[in-house]
Amino acid sequence: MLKLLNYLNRRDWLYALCALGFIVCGVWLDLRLPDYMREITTLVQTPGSELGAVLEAGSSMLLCALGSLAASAVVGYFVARIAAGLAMRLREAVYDKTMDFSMEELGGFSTASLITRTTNDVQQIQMFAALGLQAILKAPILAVWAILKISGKSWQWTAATGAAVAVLAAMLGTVIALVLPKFKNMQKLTDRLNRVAREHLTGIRVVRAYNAEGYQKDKFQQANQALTDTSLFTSRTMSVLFPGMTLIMSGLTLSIYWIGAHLINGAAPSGRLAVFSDMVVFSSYAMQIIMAFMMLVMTFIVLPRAMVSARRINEVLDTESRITDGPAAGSELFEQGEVEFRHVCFRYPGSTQDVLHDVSFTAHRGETVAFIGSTGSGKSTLVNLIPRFYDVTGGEILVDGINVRHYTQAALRRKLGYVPQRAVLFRGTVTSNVTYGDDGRGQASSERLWNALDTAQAGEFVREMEGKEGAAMAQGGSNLSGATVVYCPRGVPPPGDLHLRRLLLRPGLSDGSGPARGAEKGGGCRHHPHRSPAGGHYSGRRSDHRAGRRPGGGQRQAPRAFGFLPGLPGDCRISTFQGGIELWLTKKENPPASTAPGTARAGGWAAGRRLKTSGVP
Amino acid sequence: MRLAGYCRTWLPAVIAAMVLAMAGSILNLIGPGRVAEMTRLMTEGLMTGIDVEAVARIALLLAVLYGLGWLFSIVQGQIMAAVTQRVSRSLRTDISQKFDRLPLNYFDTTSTGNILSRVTNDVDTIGQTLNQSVGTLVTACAMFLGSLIMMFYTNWVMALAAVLAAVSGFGLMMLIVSRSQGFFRQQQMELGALNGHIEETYSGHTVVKAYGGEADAKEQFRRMNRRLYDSAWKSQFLSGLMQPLMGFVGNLGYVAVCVAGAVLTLNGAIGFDVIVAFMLYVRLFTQPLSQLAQAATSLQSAAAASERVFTFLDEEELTDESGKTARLDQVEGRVDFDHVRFGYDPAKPVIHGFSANVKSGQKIAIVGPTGAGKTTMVNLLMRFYETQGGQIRIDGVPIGELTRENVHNLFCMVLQDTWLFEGTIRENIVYAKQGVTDEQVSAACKAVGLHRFILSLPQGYDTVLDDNASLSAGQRQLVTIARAMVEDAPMLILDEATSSVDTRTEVLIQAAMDKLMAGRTSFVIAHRLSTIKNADLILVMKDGDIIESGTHRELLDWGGFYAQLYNSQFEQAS
Repeated sequence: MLKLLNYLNRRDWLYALCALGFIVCGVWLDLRLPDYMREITTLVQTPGSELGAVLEAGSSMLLCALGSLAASAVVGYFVARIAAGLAMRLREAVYDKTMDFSMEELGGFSTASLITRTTNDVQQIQMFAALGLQAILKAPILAVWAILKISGKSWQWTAATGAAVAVLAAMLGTVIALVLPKFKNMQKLTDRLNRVAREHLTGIRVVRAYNAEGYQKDKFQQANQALTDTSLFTSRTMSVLFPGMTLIMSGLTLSIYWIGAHLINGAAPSGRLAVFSDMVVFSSYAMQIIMAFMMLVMTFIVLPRAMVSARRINEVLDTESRITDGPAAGSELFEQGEVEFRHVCFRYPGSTQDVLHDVSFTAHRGETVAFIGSTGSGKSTLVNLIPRFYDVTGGEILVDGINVRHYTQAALRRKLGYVPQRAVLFRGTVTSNVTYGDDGRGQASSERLWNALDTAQAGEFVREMEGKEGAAMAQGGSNLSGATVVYCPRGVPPPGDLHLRRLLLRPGLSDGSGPARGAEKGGGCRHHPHRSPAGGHYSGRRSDHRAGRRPGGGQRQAPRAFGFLPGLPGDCRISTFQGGIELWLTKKENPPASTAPGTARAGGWAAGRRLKTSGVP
Repeated sequence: MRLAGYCRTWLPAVIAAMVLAMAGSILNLIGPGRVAEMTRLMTEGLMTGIDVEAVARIALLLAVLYGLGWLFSIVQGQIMAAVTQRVSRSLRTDISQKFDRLPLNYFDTTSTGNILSRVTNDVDTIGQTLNQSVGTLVTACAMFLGSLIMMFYTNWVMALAAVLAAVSGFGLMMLIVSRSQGFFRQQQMELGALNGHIEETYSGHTVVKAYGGEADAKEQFRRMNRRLYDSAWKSQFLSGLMQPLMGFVGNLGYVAVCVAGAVLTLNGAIGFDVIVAFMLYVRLFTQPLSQLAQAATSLQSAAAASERVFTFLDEEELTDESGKTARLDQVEGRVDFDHVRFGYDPAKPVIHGFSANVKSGQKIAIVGPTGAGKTTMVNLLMRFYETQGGQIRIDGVPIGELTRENVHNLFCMVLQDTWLFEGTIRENIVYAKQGVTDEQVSAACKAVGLHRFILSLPQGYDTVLDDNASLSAGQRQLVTIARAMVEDAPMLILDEATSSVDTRTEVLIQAAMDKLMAGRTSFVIAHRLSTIKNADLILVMKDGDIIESGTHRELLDWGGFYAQLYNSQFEQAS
């Protein structure tokens, strides 16, 4: 928790110092108030006082109250600035850190958890800072000062106040001790309820098809009951707090008066008035002390949640990305296009088995490589190593003769286009999505944009959209289904198109994209760098196609594309890969008939073959 | 408010709580009078000596009053806590049961997050408001009115002074509240926008990185974050003013009462005891004022939340089917589509006049380009959507005459979307079916080739499937196929059920399925035409109509659209 204090800058500390000054000022004024009250009391009490004197004392007291209000406002200003500023900087730190994470760290946290950490957890810290900062600074000052003011008046009164504070502390302590563990549990139970409801909603077709409504209902009821029971306990326990506090405060006033009656009786007649006004003042100071303690304790109620959040934030901030930039960043590195795997091994963190074992191959400029293998054989993993989403655990990968570790990440990725299986579209416009990111060539021209769109078979529907390439894009492209087909139950084809397009602005890596497309569309798009969806085959001719129609001129010979397909070699038309290299990763138990010396091995799924076709069919 | 209907069951309890709250407030109101009397006794005795016994009597009385007040509030709090939790529970239950009564159309057009937030956030808001505000509202009203009456009863001049002071302070407060609400709204808006950006870039992390979009993303984040900061500190600052302002209003009332009291005392109109009483009344008077203001704002948000909840609960439901008597248990599996017409938007028909006769035990493949209406046919067959014209008949019985439950019982269905829930593999496969033996489960898994993989997992069939479970997309799909096998319904629908499975596994599954489905009618939608070559009947759909039908061989010989599709998948690149 304290580590987060590092995210306060010098101005924040200055603010805090100012806030402290004004708090002292405010407390001083707050504690002056009872003095004025006493003065007024005495004036009213003493026969023959002038009205003017009462008015004077009254206006002084009002001024004092006003001053206290102003001081609180100033303190509130500083505290709000500190809290919001801290939150802003923390959020930014967490966000920047997360953006720098590689897939490895991202997978360790899970995306959902990182989102919560960046948003909700930071919000918790902000709330704690806003509420807690004031209380932590103010309460001790107020308590100590008030105690100093009343100490020495009468040990009986002091004892009564002490007892009240003790009872208060005991009550709050008990409640917190009872409730805190339940609070933590409650978060889990809410998550569970959420999960069950989400499952029901996302699987609504399955639930209905299997007539499983009753099953889901029972499940929901269980989660619902558990949550209800726990929150019933906490809210019952918490409901004791306020009546208890009222009782303690009233009781304390009462005892001070009761004790006061005896004290006055015991005092000499001449000193009785003094004791009486002391009593009135004491009771108001005693209230201040109780309030101060309450403030502190309330802070401690919020503290545990903030601490949990702080820990979660620190976990992110303390995680160093394993993937760090190398020195090579020059723009001349953009050209070329050769990829070489040298005895590459890879295993996922925490795993005991290699996913890839001793994989070696070279893809020369202009060649197309397809990775084929059954589900789980490591095709995606292999492709993810090239843009350094993960670092190899053995061997090395060279791009244009340089180890990928020696590039800056930006320089390396400028050399690569990448289309993942899942269509990712960002809120913005068609243009902002197509020209997304920084490919080191500045603003994409309109010509390049449309070339790319047309190549990806997206030109047609984009022209039909309102605003054409400037058409607004909702997150995930969810507004696209309406533009093309009325209803599209499984994934929306158009986003697939658009996002394929990103690939076309660059030399590419293609990772099994475009799964949910109609065969007809696939026919039209077949000559473009993605898998024809109907059969799951990877249709080729990418190289020559690119050479001819490459957006942006085609003066550069387009490098290769990599891809994998879920289909097996039996279904694969090798001849479609003109001049290609084909790397098969297949199951050990069932190697292809003509296994060449195995160069590709995947732990357990070892032995495949590397096949170099001569090229021209 | 409809919410009141939910509280009806608990009405006696709620009334009891309100009575208790009222009683508690009255006790609290008696307090100041007694304290005033005590003060009077003491001031009178300043010169002569205090009547300690009388003081003790009053003190005891007060102690009893405070004790009772405490007891009442505690009991009231307990009752309200119980009532609100139960009301929240039944709201949640009703919402979740509503899931099952809404047409699928609703879920296809409403985002999951939106519905979910009603189950949790909105119900939470309602619950919290009920819990805190109802009790507070009753107490505060009683206190407010009571202290007002008591003040005017005790001394109207001083009462007037106190009310004037409190009201002016209160007006100031409302001004700030209304200002800060604007900033709060803005803050929520900025926060929402920022969260959207975060979600988008985190879930598209790979693309952001692969395209070098980090710098842009960070820059945009910084700008949004900065804007959030501006509204955040302002709303924080303004809302933070409330507490000190309330303190000031209290002090203002105090001074007003003292000054007015001093004037009156000097005139000899009242005694000092009245001032002391008023000092306490003022506190009792201003306190509920601020509570009322707070309760009002939280009631506003609760009203918005309950509106969202009740809008959802009022959504049009599926037609009631309890009156339907037709029932099919043993079916032969004849399915007739008779001029079926349908459109998700009735103005834009997707299916116009689809007719087909499926004989018992046939394997029907539906192929065609995206948007042709293949999945729509499944939606209609399963009665997820109702036809807008024509009829679908099973064994000659129009499915509209059967209950949806009955229709669903006749089919097992596997979708492209692999839906698994957090639970063990066994639970996922058995799902809602009763009396499934372990042998059946493992037999199904063997059939789809999952058995060995599952056994290699540390917990075997009891492995919990959650976010961390390392099942590939293909393996997930296999689990859902195993689920359909265990379900063992008379007819089968496969809607691109094997799209994520490699072709060799698919062949194995096909074999297992064919065995299972021998003699049963099955519908298969597939993009990989190689997998449906052996279908008894292939229906080629385009733009909502069947344009060709026949067996694979026939269609290829015909040389029409199907042949074109098929060849496009296997065409030579040269």
